[in-house]
Amino acid sequence: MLLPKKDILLIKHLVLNKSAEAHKILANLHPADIAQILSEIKNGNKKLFFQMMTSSKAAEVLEEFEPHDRLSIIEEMTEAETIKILENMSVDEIIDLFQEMPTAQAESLLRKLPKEDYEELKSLLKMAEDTAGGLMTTDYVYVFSDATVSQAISDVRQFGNKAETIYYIYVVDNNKHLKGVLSLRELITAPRDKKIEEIMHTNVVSVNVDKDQEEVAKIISKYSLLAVPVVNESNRLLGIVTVDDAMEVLEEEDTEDIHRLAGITPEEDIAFSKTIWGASRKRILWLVVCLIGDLLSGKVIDGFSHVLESVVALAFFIPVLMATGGNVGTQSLALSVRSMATEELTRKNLFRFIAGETLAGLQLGVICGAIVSILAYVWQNNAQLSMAVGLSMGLSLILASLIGILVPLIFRILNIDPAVASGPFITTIVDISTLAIYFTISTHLIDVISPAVVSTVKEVLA
Amino acid sequence: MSQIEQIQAALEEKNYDQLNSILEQYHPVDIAQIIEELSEDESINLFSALEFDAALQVLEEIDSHRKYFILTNVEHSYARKLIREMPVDDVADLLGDLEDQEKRRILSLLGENKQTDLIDLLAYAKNSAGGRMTTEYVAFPKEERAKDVLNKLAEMAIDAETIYYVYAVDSQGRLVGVVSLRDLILAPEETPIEDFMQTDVKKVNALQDQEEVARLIKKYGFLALPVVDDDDVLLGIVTVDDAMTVVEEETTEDILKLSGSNADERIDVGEVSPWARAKRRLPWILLAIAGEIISGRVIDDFSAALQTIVALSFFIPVLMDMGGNVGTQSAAIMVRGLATGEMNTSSIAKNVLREATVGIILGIANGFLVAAITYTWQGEMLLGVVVGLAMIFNLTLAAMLGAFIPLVWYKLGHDPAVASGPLVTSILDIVGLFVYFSTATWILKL
Repeated sequence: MLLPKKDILLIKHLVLNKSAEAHKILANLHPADIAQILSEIKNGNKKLFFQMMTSSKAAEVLEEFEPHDRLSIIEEMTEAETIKILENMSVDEIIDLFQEMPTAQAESLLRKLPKEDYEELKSLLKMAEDTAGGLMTTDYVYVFSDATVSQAISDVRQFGNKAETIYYIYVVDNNKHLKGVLSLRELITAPRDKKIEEIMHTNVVSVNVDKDQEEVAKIISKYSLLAVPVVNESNRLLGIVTVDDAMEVLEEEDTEDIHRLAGITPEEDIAFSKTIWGASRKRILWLVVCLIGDLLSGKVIDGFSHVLESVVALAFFIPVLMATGGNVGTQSLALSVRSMATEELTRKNLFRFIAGETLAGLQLGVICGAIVSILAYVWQNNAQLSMAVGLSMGLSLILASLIGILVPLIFRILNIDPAVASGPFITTIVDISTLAIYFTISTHLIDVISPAVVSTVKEVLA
Repeated sequence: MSQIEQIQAALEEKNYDQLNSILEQYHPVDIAQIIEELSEDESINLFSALEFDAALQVLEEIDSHRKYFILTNVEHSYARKLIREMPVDDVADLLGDLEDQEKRRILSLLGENKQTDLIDLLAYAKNSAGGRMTTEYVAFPKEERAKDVLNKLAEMAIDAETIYYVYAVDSQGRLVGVVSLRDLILAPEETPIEDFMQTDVKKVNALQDQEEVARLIKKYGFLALPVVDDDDVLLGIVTVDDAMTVVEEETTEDILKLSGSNADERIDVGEVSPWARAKRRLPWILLAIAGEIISGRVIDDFSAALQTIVALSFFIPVLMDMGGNVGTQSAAIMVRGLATGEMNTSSIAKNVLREATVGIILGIANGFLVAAITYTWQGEMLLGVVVGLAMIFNLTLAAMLGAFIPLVWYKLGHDPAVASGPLVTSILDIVGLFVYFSTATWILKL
């Protein structure tokens, strides 16, 4: 809701009628706003907008879209129009786009781009999509360590126009090895005749080109950087990853974490997951796993069916025991997975965390156990049954919070992504154990205290 | 020896040369992390060994409790010097985390000017744009020339958090434009900034929610976003690194709420007492217990059927859990879609219908599977049909409810995450069990 609805309608109207005013309006709008309007336009008409913008503006607007949406927009345009826009796009964005295209199409567009872009793109395309190399751009500013401040400033003025950020200026030696970094502010306030190497910071935070994109984003966030330089094994500067790309990576990862917790398999192919079939496929895997697990819960009940036959009232408390165990397990799981993801959980406070959560589980167990046991007594007027229900609730909640906390921790130790331990998965495990506890305790209490109780209960029920 | 042990050894021997040579390799963020891992006494010793500028940078990154400890245990005059150089918004954040008595101790360290600034900042809710902003930004009258602005920037002993954007204001202090440092450097020297400034400035009101601020920064790829009052007077800026923190906090909140905890933005792994932890989880659990007792009553109503065919109870777990699972999935998709702004919220019905279709597909797949397994296990064709039908119904309803409740909650202006999880599951269990047993009595003629 960032642009008023009536403005959007007006702009749509002007553009679709090819009004002369539309040129001016589009030129003054922020690319993100134009993208917002475009997302509400029918597919065949989007090209009208692009024809009314300068190619640099068109490039900026196109960059606002997800790569697979860019593809459908480009398909509306002629190849000549596409090339013109591509020439104005930043290198990392072109790469993202090409990675969505069929190889032949990407190859043919690539050939029509200017020679120097071609070489650069070709080598970037080889890097894995989800590493620092795949995320970085090669549009950045660097200066040589033996240059003077005034030489460096004129370099920045000359090359700064195309760079994604000129606020960090990277310092390299003659072989392009990363030596240091300067902020733009430090550069412009330094005495003009000083050598760059005298004023640069040598303690540069950099990442290796193979580093996973999530870790790159976390480094940018941790050190509050606007960009981080990407280097190879011999510390040669290859590119930079900027903070806006890092935010996007973090958002994707957060979505993946939340979906995984709910038992949804992350899908690489975004376009596919937008269809109903795709959406179903993402969710079916964990559901089938849980279905089998839940039938094991059924098997547990089956194993005690003679008890259930004599005291049907036992079945009335299956839902409350199962659901509460599942809820507590899921809560603990969410705490555990999230505190690992934000790195709040460290080796130092690990023990305190587990102990604290176990105690919390104990308290929840005592409180809920007492409540449910009273409810059971009031409802069924049977002391043994009420005791069995209360005890099972208490034990199962302690167990549930332990399972919820420990399973993702164990996954982490085994090097499996802790978010793979989903809520449904934990619930299933908790349910099997809850039912086993419940029926074991009931059999015991109800048989041991007095076999006559069974017949009493039957009478009460009758 | 690990790095921490080396540092501890150097502190023990009071070998400050060695300590400094170790610390030199680290970024302030890393030193802050080391300090948090040391004992309180060790951390004071290490902190005192840092030079003033480094100490200030490190202090900014330390968590509030340790920050308070350090500020109240280093020499009084040093503490005053430190806190006066700290960015106002950081001091405000620190105060927000402290008890009243602790707050007063920190405030007493501050000069009068800063106290007034702080009181202004603290007036805003912690989660609003005003509560997140810093007042350390650069603004110039719009008539100022590019050259003069650059010279003044160079002279300013900058405590402004970011000078990447220079804001232009009119004589009343109202925000009228913005230029990036980059425009400023590339512009002809004699032009006044109003000639090349961007007049379509994206900004937020100080009372707006912090989530909105983060969303704007992300959408437009800004390094900072100006915060204004109702009259458009510039009050401060929120920077991109703060926006990243906001995003992280809001995600944590969503995850915890989805799982049915009343959540703060932070988990506070070590600081919160077990009782406080239990308390923030209890309300939703109690609600769910009430719901599930009703589920029990439903079974009670059909206890005659259950006594005739005990095997009916074997499928209670699978039906309950699968409904809950699909409901949770749908709720997670909605809540996340709303948080990232990817979802089109104009029509609730459309979204619910879409989820219903997904639910039917999932229901049919799982329904057939469970029917086949039931038949193999129990050798009863009709029982298989009952369980399969109940599964299809359950999952379809689950997907619809899981989508519907957060969406309605959102439309009513609440946080969509809060209404999900245990609530959806309880409703589903009641309705699901009722449908299961009704189908059973009908088909099996009980």
